[in-house]
Amino acid sequence: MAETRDINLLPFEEKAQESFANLQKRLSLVSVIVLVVTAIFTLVTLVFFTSLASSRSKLIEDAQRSFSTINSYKANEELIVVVKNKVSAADKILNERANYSNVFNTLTSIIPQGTYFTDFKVASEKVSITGRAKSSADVAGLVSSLVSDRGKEIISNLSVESLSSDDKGIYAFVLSAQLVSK
Amino acid sequence: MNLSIGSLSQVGSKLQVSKAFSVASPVAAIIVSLLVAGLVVWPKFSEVMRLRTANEQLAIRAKSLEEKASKLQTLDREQLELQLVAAEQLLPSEKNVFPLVSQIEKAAGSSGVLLSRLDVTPGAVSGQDKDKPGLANAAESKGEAVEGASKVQVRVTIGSDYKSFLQFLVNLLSISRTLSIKDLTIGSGSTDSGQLRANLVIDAYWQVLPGELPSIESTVVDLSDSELKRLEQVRSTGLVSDPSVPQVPLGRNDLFLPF
Repeated sequence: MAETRDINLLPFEEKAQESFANLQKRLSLVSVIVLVVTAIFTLVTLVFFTSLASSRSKLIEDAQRSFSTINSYKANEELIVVVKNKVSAADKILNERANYSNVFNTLTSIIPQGTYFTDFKVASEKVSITGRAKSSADVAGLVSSLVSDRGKEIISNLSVESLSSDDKGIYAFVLSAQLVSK
Repeated sequence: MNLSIGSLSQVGSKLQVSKAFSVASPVAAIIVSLLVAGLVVWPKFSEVMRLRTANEQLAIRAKSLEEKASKLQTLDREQLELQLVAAEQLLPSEKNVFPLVSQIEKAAGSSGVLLSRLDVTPGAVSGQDKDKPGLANAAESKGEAVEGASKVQVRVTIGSDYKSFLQFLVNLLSISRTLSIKDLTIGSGSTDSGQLRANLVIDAYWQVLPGELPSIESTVVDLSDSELKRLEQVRSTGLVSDPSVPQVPLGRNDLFLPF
């Protein structure tokens, strides 16, 4: 009975040993792969780190060189900053200011001959014109001129505030409008 | 075949131990590798990635600094000084009320208008009265700073004919200092003499010098074509020296004797 058991045991043992040997081989292979991957990863990280650290120190050197150059030209920087601040502010103000010479020159050329102004007021770019005209046609001519393309170059939003005539047929008018900035 | 069952089991357990030892080394190698990778290399790798990002930002800063340095090197100091003089005429660093009044008087004189009144309340002459509202002039106390520039208001009343008035406007607006006419009232009056009476509110701008430079990393902005043109206009008028107050004789024996 014992003999029979021994004889039957051999293929089972062999099979188990074979599968264990397979497992051992696989484990060894996996361990080698993991080791190699870890080693490569470590090496790559170190190389990358060394290269980045070296480029960082070069960048810091470059920045420090630029810092010292900038400091040595500080006077130039002060001058350009002050000039830029002043001229930029002045330029904006001058670009936005009303060109009164142009306003009066345009008005002079488009006003009908039978019309004249008695008062001309500009407050916060709002224009108020008081005047007289020989006839209603002259007032109409004036309004028409002010809403024409040339008139629109100097004023906008024209409105006739009042229009009245006296016993001599002279019309008094009050106009209001918005002054167009340059 | 005299092997007993007890000796067979002993051999079997020894075999098990030797088998366990034979797989222990690759397993230990895997565990150690993974521990090294997880605890040492991965944190270092994360540090490398952070360093990379920091380097990219540093590279941008270094580049902008280098550009700024090379731009500053190319600037002509003498030309900048001339430009500063012209810029000071456009927008003085102080109120410069007396040169302004003098320029308005000259504009009136050369255009033939009669300057019948001139009002200005400049406040502290040096322009350092910002924290003393009681001394600040009316216009400034309104807090109207335009484009970073403060202003002094001058109220002018003139009498003239129409042509002289137009000439006065031309002369006034061609003064190199930045001025704008805020309010304007013209009345022809009831007479037919052709004489006009005009009230003007003139804003004259000034801007204090900056106390300190912006950050070293701020870029240097070039003057635009329009700004260069403005400076050239001021320089071409030949007024590159500071507009000064006219000299007057000094000294009196009696302080209260009318002149």
